[in-house]
Amino acid sequence: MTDAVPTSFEGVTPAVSVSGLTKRFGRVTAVDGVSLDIPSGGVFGLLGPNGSGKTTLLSMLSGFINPTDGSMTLFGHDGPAGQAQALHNVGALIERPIFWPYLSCRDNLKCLQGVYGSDGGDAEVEDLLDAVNLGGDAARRKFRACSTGMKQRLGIAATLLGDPSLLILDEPTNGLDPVGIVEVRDLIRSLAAGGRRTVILASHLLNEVEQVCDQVAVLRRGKLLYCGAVADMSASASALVRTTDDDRAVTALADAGWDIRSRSEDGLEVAVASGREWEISRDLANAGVYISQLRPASGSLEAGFMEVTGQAEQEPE
Amino acid sequence: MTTFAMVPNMMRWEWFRLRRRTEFWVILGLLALAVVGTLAVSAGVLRLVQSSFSIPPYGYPLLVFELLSRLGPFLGIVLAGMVLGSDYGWGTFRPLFARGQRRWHVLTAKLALAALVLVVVWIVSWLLAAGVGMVAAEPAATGVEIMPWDSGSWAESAGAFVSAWPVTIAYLLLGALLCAVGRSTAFGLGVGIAILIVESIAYPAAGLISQLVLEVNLGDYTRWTLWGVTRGLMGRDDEIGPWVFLPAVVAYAAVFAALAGLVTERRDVSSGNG
Repeated sequence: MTDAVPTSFEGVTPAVSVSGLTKRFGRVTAVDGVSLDIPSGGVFGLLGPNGSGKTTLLSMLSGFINPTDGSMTLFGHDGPAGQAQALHNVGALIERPIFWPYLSCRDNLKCLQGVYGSDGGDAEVEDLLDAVNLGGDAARRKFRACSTGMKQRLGIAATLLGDPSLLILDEPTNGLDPVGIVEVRDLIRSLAAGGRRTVILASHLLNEVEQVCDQVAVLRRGKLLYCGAVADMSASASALVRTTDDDRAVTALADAGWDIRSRSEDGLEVAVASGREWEISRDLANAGVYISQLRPASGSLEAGFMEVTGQAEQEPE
Repeated sequence: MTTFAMVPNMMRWEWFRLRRRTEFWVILGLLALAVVGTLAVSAGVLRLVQSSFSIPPYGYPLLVFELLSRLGPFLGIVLAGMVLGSDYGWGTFRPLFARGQRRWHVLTAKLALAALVLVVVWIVSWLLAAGVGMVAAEPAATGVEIMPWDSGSWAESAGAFVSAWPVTIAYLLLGALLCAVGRSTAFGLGVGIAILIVESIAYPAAGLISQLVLEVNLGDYTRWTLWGVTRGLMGRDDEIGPWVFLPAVVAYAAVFAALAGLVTERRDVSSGNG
């Protein structure tokens, strides 16, 4: 299955390239022969249920965990020495934000700034604290006294020290309130804007990946199931259509070549790629049928995700 | 940044963190209390009985040496727990290693800083004791000297301090190894202090029993253990001079450091216990 997954993006220089990457913990294979190219610039999503190997994969990329097998290249650097050199340019927030509990938010950032040899000075620390809404009194609060959301935001700020080219963010919106989630998602998008930075975002939240990511890889039980554009993965999604005349709509859509998956009191479920829903509207209007409601049937990426993981479920392990 | 610049930079930020830890100052405070207490009690008692006993000025540092030589191994293991074990427990090795920092740079900086702290503690203690000695010591004209003038000197008291420092470093590195193996302060301190207790109680007791029951000098067999060489270096071996033991203490320290480095280098970096 893994070998059949297209894993490279033509014409784009990969920021990260892994080949046959495997990690075993005793008898458990957390990551199983993953080969993957992550293009430079933009937000790359790593999607998978809990225990799918996302965190282990990211930990290997960040140099925290040694692979059992396989190889990886960061910005063209490979081997332990090359990886160490490339990691100077990588900010990572993996599993949970980890800091010295007895230091304040500001001192934690100052300390890491010094350890990393970043020459941004106090201004960089203050700017980052402000960027994640930890300025003022919050900056003086000891890490152990911070709320989950504050810790998460400090974790994001630390990844930005030294303005790295690659950010690895493992479920960065964990523990944030709805406003915080929106802010962090906006921040992630802005960080990758214009392709000046690559962000790898691991999440099990489909809507998060759909909103933020350009490309996505799906992992399940340590294996890579899918790798490609988010829009392509949503291709098998569907929309729920309510019309002024469902009988005529069925005929019109069938004539236009649409796949009508079901019909119920809620309306017609029509298979449609994300972003192409307007074509249903056009074809129905051409047939003189008008739409009263059109909405995603089950969340477009969700349908694609279920299809990808569902196929894997049916295959022998 | 080169290796030569990297390690001092890491030490600087290690100190930034260490000096903000309350526990660090509590431990130093307790140690200061013990040193000052020893000096104060000694000076006070001598003042009461000065017609009968006296201590020469260089004897005061030797009193503090007695204290530090016994507390030093504990201090070494506790410091290892603070600079190394805590980072395992909190998972804060991750941010330290996050930007491709060489693990041995981080480890070297931590241990070098702890060793430097111990140097400062030793020097300050010696200077304090020497100062008190020069002010308080008044050899009685007719009194019995606890430490006769002709059996010691300032050089000897300084030498004793110097010999106790590598001993503490050996235990610091033993503590570092234990913290690295157990990946926690609790394991490092627990096992380290258990070893110290066994050394200070079980070895002498076993030695006494073997001497009385089996008529065997256990010291012949335990001389080159960590306990034996550290005691020997501090002048507590009746048969061999202290400095003969220095290479052995250095060898123990090197083995502990190498193993701690190997474990840190090879192992996955965990995210700690929260």
